[in-house]
Parts: sequence; C-alpha cells; structure tokens
Amino acid sequence: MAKFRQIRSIAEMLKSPEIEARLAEIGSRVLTGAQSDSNATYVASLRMNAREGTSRVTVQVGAAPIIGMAVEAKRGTLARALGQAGG
Amino acid sequence: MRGIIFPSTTGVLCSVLRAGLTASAVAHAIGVTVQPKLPATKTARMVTVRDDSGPDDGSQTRRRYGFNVWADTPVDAENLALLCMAILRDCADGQPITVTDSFSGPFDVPTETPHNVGGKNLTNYFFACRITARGTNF
Repeated sequence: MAKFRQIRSIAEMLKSPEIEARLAEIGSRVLTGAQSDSNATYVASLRMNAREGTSRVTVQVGAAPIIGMAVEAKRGTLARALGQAGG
Repeated sequence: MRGIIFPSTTGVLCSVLRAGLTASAVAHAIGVTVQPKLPATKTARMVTVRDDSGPDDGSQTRRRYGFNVWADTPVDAENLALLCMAILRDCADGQPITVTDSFSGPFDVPTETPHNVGGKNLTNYFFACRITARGTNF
C-alpha cells in the first residue's frame, strides 16, 4: 500500500504555530531595534502583539498613536528597525 | 561572476518629485523645495526624502522611505502630500526604480514647535512607501 505524506494546506499553515513563532522572532528583532530610540516615552509605549485573523496569524509591533506618529515622521524608528531585521 | 552594486535612490526620488511637481498645474505644487534634509532657510512648501533602509535579495533592493511634507496651510500640506504620493506611484521606469508600493499615510504630524515662514506656522504631513530598485554589475 502506497504511503502518503500528510501535508497541510496553505490556509492551515498561515495560521500555524510555526508561522507565528517565525513572525514573533522577526517582531522581537524589530521591537529590540525600536527600543534604541532616544525618546523614553516612545520606548515605553512600544508593544508587540500576535493575533489570529480570518486567514492568517499576524504579529504587529507599534507604539502609542500620537507619539508613535511623531517619532516615525521625525526619525523613522520602526521603519529602520524593520529594515535592520530584514523585513 | 561579477558583484552587484545597488544605486542610491534618494537623489533619484528628489529629482522625480521635483519634475512631477514642476509639471503639475495645481497651486500647491508651486515653489516646493525638495531635498533629503530641511533647508537652512525654510520655505512655505517643503518636502524631505529620508531613506529608512531595507533588505535586498541580491538583485533588487527594497527600502522604506519616509517623506515629510510642510506647507503654510493644513489643506495645502495634505494636498501636497497626496500629490507627492501620486507622483511616486507612477515613477517606476526601471532606471533604476522598478516598483513603488506599500504606501502608508499621509497623516498630520503633531508638532510642538512648528516652523514659521512669513508669519505662518507650517503644517507637517508624513507618508511612507517602499522603493524597489535594481542593482547592476560593477
């Protein structure tokens, strides 16, 4: 009797713990990079959250709205951290 | 096998924006200073182009860019930012920019001490996008 490999669908993989772990690893590098910003209030507001959407798991790194917008416009801290993390 | 060198795209983007704004007929595109950094003498309408870095895949570089836009009225600042975004969306000609995508913004940047030109406080808008450019053999 032929053996069949058990393979998962793409849809299943996009919500898998392995993908979440990989995204969390990249997100942690982005978070660590952004934490080097000189504004302590901004750094204190940085958060990383993982959530499962309808089609895939996502990991978001962000700061509080007003100060986050100001720092991103002034120094591009998160964009640079993402670039350093290879994103 | 020869190595790959990636182009600097900041100057190209400044040129693209200057040409696009000059060609535009709208009033808020007139007299705009476009530079990588703010000029020492501020003008009523300014755009700065900032390279926020990014990875490459060995043949193309994909870098995030941040664009700060200032104008002496909030409406002009937002419209100028939207016009710059439209120009950038349409600028990929392969020489060397191949793709412009992942646009976000524009949004009004909260500023405690705004620049003042001619007695008017300037409004600051910001947007970002990703610029992909091809490398060449060196």
